[in-house]
Amino acid sequence: MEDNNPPKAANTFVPVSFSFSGKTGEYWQIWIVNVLLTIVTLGIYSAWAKVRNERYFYGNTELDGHRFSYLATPIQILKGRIIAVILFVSYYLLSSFSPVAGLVLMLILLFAFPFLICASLRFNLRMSSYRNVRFDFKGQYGEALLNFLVLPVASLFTFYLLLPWVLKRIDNFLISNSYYGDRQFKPELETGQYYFASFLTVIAMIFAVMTFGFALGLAGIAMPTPEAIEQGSVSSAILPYVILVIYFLVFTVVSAVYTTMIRNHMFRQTELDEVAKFDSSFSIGSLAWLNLSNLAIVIFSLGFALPWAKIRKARYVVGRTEVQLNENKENVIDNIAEQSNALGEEVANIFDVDVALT
Amino acid sequence: MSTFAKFFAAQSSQYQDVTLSVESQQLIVSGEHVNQRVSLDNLVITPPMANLPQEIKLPCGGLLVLPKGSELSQLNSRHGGVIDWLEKNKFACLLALLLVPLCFYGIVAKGIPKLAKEMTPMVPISVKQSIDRQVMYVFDELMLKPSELDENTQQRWQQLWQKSLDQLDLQQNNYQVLFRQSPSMGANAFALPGGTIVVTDELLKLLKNNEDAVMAVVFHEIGHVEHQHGMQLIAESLATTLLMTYVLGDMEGIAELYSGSFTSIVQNQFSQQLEKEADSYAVKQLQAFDIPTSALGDALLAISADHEKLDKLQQYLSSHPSIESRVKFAQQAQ
Repeated sequence: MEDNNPPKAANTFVPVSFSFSGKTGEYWQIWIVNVLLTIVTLGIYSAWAKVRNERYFYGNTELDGHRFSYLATPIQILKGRIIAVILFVSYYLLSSFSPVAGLVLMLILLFAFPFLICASLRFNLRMSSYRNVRFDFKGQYGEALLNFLVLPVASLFTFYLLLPWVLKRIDNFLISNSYYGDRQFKPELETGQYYFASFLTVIAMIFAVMTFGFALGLAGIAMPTPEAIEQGSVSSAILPYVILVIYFLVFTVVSAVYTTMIRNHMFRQTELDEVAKFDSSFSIGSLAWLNLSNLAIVIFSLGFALPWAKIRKARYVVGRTEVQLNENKENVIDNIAEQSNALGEEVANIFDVDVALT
Repeated sequence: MSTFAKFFAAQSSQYQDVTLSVESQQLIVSGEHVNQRVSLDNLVITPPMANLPQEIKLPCGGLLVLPKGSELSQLNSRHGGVIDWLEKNKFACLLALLLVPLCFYGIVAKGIPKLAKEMTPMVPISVKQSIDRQVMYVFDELMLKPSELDENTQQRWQQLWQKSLDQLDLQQNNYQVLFRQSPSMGANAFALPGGTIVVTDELLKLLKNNEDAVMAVVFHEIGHVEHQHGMQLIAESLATTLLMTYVLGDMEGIAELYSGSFTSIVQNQFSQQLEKEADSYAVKQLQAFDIPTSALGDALLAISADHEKLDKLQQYLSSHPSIESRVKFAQQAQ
């Protein structure tokens, strides 16, 4: 059955359309109804809400005239979610009732962390489909443990000098274990790029901190004189919040430097085995602006404009991603094992284990 | 009546155009290379949402994708579209916009505290005592030192507690008072759920000439234990965390920190309520002992003068109610 020698089409890759058609108003209505239903059902409906939210974003993403589909069913999510909540509550109570047991559990959790990452990625990719063919993740525990735990810890002892190399290995692990049907994503990442991006990120951080420090000094907030506090002209209470806001600003701008450089590099250097090539055109300024304005949107709307922020993000990401497809796209076969459950993904979610390619 | 669709065979990314029609409870798929009849009961149809195209999964693993906007109405009517109807209804969404904050407030301000109160009596005393032992072990290692009070002074204070404990009508009968020195905490006293009350040397020094004030502080701490506030705090923060995780869902990156600060405001408001409850407990006991209730106010004032002064914003974010309001409360109880 398996088509082992596809007609070796000339290796020509043709740019295809890639677009996101989600609309803020439309999504906001979906979102608010689902939030309400989640609250009045004391969280049970959250499984249905998750599926609807995911479906909206998948279904509105169109590549070469075909839409993506999110396949998970609410019941699947609900089952995983119930067990995850039970585990989390036990963990929380046990570590409140006994700090010692809490420490032991934390250690166990630390070693479960690479497993959770793999399980969560596997579930999410298997639930993603395009042209009736699903994605998959085949990363194994041992390699994940090495990349996510052992090497990052080891890099501490090199004063972080190894860290860019470790970050490259992590990205390589995530991409090269991802599959679309029977085709593997093949990255050729360059260590030099990771060192270059990390170097620029550190420079940007130093520059940003100095700029803000200087601006603060000028504004006379950084060092309020005792008399000023006495007279109440400067509230000493405000200072921590000013610093917190500045921290967010610096973090957002600086992280845009790294994300932009690395994402563009990853997309350019990855090929979906004889099927697709990618490109990414993030830019530091536009990404920093997107993240900052999205943060402002969420805060000043008290969270009610979250859908707007999410739609803006999706538009940006899709709009700055280019895909080229080969004739071979018709030959991809879905050979992915049937069984998958949401438990790993849900446990990862509640314990806040989050891994995403930038 | 027929509709066009794209048909993907099982496991394949190749598609062909087909025509769909429904006839006597069967879906008929016909195209150049396909001719299938499938009972409607065996189809898996995506629930309608926004204007996403309808997708129909066939039992054989094949997939039908209808063009945007067109749908097989015979299939839709079989398929509850209540949620879709709500999501498309402007009025329902405005109503949701009103109800979400109301319900959210109801759960956070009323539901969760009530739940916490009702759950806590279920925790057995042995568990609470084991918490005390473990917490004291950690605290002794990290931020407490043995008391420097001399034997006589300690004895004198212990006798005073014993006398007043005997007269109190207590739910728990395993209270113990410990003396510790703590440069990091300063003048302070705290209670653990199992009935361990810790008083710092610094506090005794601060309130030295006023036995009544010390008693007021201890009554306040006993109030925390009697009302099981420690357990309530655990239950409350657990419930709030779960609520935020599943209601707000996937807040990305920094927005998550925003929801985190919201959570801590909610928790501090809750803890302020508990402090007030402990204050009224202390006032009630002081009255029973014929000690002027202003003793509590005196103690609070002395402690707050010792600590930093808080302004309005910090008060809102703080875990304790403002000293002024608490002193006023103690004085008015007279």
